[in-house]
Amino acid sequence: MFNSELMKRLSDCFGPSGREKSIREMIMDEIKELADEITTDPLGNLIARKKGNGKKILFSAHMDQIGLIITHVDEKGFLRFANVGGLNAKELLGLRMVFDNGLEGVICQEELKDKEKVTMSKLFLDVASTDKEFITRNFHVGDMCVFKTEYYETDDCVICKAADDRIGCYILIEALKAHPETENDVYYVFSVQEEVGCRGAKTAGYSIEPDLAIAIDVTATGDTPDGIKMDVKLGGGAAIKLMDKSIITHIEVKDLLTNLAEKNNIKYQYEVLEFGGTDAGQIHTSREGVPSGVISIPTRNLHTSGEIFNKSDVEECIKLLIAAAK
Amino acid sequence: MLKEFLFDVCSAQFISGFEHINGDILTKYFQPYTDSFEKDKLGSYIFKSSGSNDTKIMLAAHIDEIGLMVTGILDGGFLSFTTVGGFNSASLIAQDVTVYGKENIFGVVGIKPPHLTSEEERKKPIKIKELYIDTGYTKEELEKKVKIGDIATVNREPLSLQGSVISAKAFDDRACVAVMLEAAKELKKISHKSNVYFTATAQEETGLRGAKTSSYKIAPDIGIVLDVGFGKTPDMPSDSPELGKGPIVAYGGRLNPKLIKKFVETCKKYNYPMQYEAVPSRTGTDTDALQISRDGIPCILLSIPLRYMHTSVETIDLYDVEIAGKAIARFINELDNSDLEEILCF
Repeated sequence: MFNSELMKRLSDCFGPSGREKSIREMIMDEIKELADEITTDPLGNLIARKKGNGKKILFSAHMDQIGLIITHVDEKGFLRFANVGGLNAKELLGLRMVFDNGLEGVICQEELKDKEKVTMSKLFLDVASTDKEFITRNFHVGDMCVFKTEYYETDDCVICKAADDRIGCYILIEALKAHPETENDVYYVFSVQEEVGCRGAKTAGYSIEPDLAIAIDVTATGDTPDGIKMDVKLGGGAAIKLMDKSIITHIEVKDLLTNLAEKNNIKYQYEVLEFGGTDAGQIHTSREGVPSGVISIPTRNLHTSGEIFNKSDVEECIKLLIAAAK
Repeated sequence: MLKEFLFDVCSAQFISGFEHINGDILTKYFQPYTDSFEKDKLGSYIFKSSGSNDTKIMLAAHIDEIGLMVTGILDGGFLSFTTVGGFNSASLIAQDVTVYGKENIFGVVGIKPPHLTSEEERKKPIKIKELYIDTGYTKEELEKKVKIGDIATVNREPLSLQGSVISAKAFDDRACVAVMLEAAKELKKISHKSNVYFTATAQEETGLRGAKTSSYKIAPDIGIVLDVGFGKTPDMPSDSPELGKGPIVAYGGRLNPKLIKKFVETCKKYNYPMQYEAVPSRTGTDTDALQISRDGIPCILLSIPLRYMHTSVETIDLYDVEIAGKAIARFINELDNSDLEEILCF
């Protein structure tokens, strides 16, 4: 049964890369009764451990979301910004953005002859105030804001912001709730700064030194009109990643996940993504290497304010993750 | 022996991420000249020749090659694919390939006939996405034999051209794995004091990944990185390195100037011909990973001149391979008899 209430809270919680405090506290509160040990590392990764004497397994989903960082505040209430993570200037016009303190703005653009040529530097955030004192008091260079999109769901699918990778966090939390009897020493890592270079995963992979690592993150789909050519679709089950720009899935991990899916009747599909990367990219080259793979949630409209995923795919991902923990 | 090794190892596939399949070829050739063998967790092959002191010297040449990966099984029995590592799409057209599915399947990569393309279309370079592998099977048959994520390579028998010039796929970077073999053979003859690690690194073509993990595992005092360089052809600048004139010594920010100096002195002393190149910053080789591994590894980078990089007709001169191997053995010998601290101290 999909826990819509939890997913809605995860999606709504503020947490662009480097500003994960709120989301970390929310997840910490959610899992505090579930783990044997919960720690936060120097970069801000939240690490929940289920102790065992067996193999060390690391699961990683990133807490951070894409956003904007303010580079300039003018007294008239217009804020300039740069992207934190991969945002496309062409897709931002008219979007509402929200700051950690709840204040909002809308993205506008300078009058351009050729609207196709819009770049980040031609955009600004209008914070809806003509009050100079209010503006200078509340907005500062270095502040970050994220999309403001309301969570919405149908019987089978969800539209929300930051499904990348709060749906991964959701899966980790749900798997932690159903953590199986096992000898394995399992680390559930809610990582920071994935969107700017998988930085949290790099340090977590180094400190934990796992025998096996699996990242849980979203992947693109090829099921939209005239979309990219890709064999992954919503409703096709958990996607077992075979390659992206950051990793070639270790052959033993590919076989492990495939066999677990087959044995436990978990619906799965293979994924080859021709762009992008995940936490596993950093973890698998940590120290002398870590056999690693990725369980992906097929998601449409990645890195936009309205990412769409399928609830039954999520259930399959949770099952596969629990099977891998055993 | 070098040619035999190269023809053997280039007839097998070692696509990035799949280096484990044909490793026996490497152990067969390296074991007679080395004392122990292990792998890092990404699948880099590490052959160690033990010495009598504590110094560790790591040689690195990547074993992996660029290849293709199946992304879809299309109506009519065609396979769409992406690349593992960098290909120029032009080099794939009209090639025959082997797809490593449940069984090995032959296929060809064709393009639309000129009769059916407009002049404008013909002017544009073809994208990888527009190419597919034709196996002759129906979609239903193919689905039983091939899965998404299966790999494929271009088929190419190694060729002897004139003299010591040879051509094959994957001389990038197996020409340099052969350099390591030659160095191992030479070092076997002279008793060396350092521990030498001949490392055939994995996944260089997809981001220097095996160099990162193997160098962490070995934690060497010195790195000697071996890769291929761009050999001169009529369409290249006139000062490009040429085949048959010796390996190319690199100077640049990634490399240790005192080690290079020592290496060049050694080459001059023993009359080994060398060519030179300047690489201001990123080398695009395993050096970039080694240099910043753990607390830093002083490195030199040697390249074997090679024509037509990342095609199935990569062409080298065996002479350069042999010279490089011998020079490295002499270099290690010279290092053994020098004050290493003095060389490595800034």
